[in-house]
Amino acid sequence: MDQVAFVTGADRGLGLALSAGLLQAGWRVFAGRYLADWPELDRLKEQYADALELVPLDVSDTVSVRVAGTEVARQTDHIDLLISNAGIGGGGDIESGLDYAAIEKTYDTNTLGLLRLVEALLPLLDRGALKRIAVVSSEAGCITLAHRDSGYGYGMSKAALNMVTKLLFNDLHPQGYTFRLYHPGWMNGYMSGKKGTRGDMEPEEAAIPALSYFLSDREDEGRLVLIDYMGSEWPF
Amino acid sequence: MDMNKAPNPIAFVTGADRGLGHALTASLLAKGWRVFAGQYMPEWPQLSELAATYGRRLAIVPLDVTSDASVRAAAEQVAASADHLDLLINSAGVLSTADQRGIREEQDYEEMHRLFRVNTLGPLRVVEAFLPLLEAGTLKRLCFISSEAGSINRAERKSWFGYCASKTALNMGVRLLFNRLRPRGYTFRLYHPGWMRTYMSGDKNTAADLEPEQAAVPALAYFLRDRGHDPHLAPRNDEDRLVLRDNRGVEWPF
Repeated sequence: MDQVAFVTGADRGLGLALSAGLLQAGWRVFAGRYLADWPELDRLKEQYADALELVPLDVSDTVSVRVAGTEVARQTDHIDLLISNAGIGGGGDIESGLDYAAIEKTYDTNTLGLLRLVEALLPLLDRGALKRIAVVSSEAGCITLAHRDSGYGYGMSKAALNMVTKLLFNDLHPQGYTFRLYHPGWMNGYMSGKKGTRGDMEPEEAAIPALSYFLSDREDEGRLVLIDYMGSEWPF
Repeated sequence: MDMNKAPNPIAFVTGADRGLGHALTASLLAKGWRVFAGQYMPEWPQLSELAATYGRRLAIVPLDVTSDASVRAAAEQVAASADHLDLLINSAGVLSTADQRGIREEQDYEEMHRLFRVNTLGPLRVVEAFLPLLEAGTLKRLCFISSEAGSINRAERKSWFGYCASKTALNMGVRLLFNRLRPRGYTFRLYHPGWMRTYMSGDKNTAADLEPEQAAVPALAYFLRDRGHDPHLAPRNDEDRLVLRDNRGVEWPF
């Protein structure tokens, strides 16, 4: 049986690099595309015409996610690996005034996006052999060690994402699912809208340990852990 | 600071119509505090009954924590008759029965947004608007009714996505506030009050463990106690760490 993955936020940054890595490893990839006019996925499609399918996707839009699920179900009878990667930043700080609409939008995308995806794709994941759900989170969602005093939208959405993943884990792990909750490191991605320049690494570099972790077995699948790109565990 | 010796201590309580917010308001009034009580449901009689007992020490303030304009107007109303606040208690919170659906059932994302707007953004909006009044107070104490349901470590539920996530996000939001405001003298109480017979999903929950009047007793004791000099915690100053504690004093991991 083909190994089939679904990757969100595949337009650029880490999602694109993960899609490329999976294709290179022989996977069939459904790539969630948010930006119809961004060219990098088209280039990848030229290279992997048969193995790569581009799927219009806005994870903050319930209808868009359901339509994507229906479309993918027409083209494959199963998905082995879901990588929930699409994410945005946003927030403000308490003295200059929080942007509540921006915070809610971040929650809608970063937190509720995962639920929409799992709800829509669960029938396909049920028929996959691997049943793996990989969630790109962040150390910014770690409450215990939080050192920031701003970035409310991003930090709260990632903490809430960790919670949602835990609830899904509680439900689905007994049904044969395995989970990867992951902090990929500080990359020169496009989280702010334009490409970052001060990160520790490029998304192509970050995709290597990420994919290795998503695809390898863990000894302790019975516990949900937040692991970073160095293999270290973060508290919640 | 011993609030019993402070002249004229003043509190603002959200969600004071009924349930825990109402019981906390009543207890503060009984202890001699002046209380501004956030009222979401003017048709609900319990706050007016308190006003009949305590007269001018209780001021009722219309408040919808999901509305910028309402929260700003509330802060202006309080500022018109008080020059400071010592204690802010964020108690307003909601639950939704749609939230118990498992992931194999259709999820209600609009309801999840509503829970996030009330439970998570509400307290932040209130803190932002009341910060100038709190800055002028001496106690500078910010209290948040959170929940064990927000603890990722201990989470055993398989659904309740919207409620649990709203409380986890609240805990993170309070942590970011703590990081900014603790160095300026603010103190924090992040609290799980126990499972109460309250109205969080609209109707009174009669299956729960505690009446809100019972739950208010340890809650208020914890909110008013000075943890910087707690003999049980000495020599560590527990104010310099944000902790989620429950009604039995037990700390929950995040």
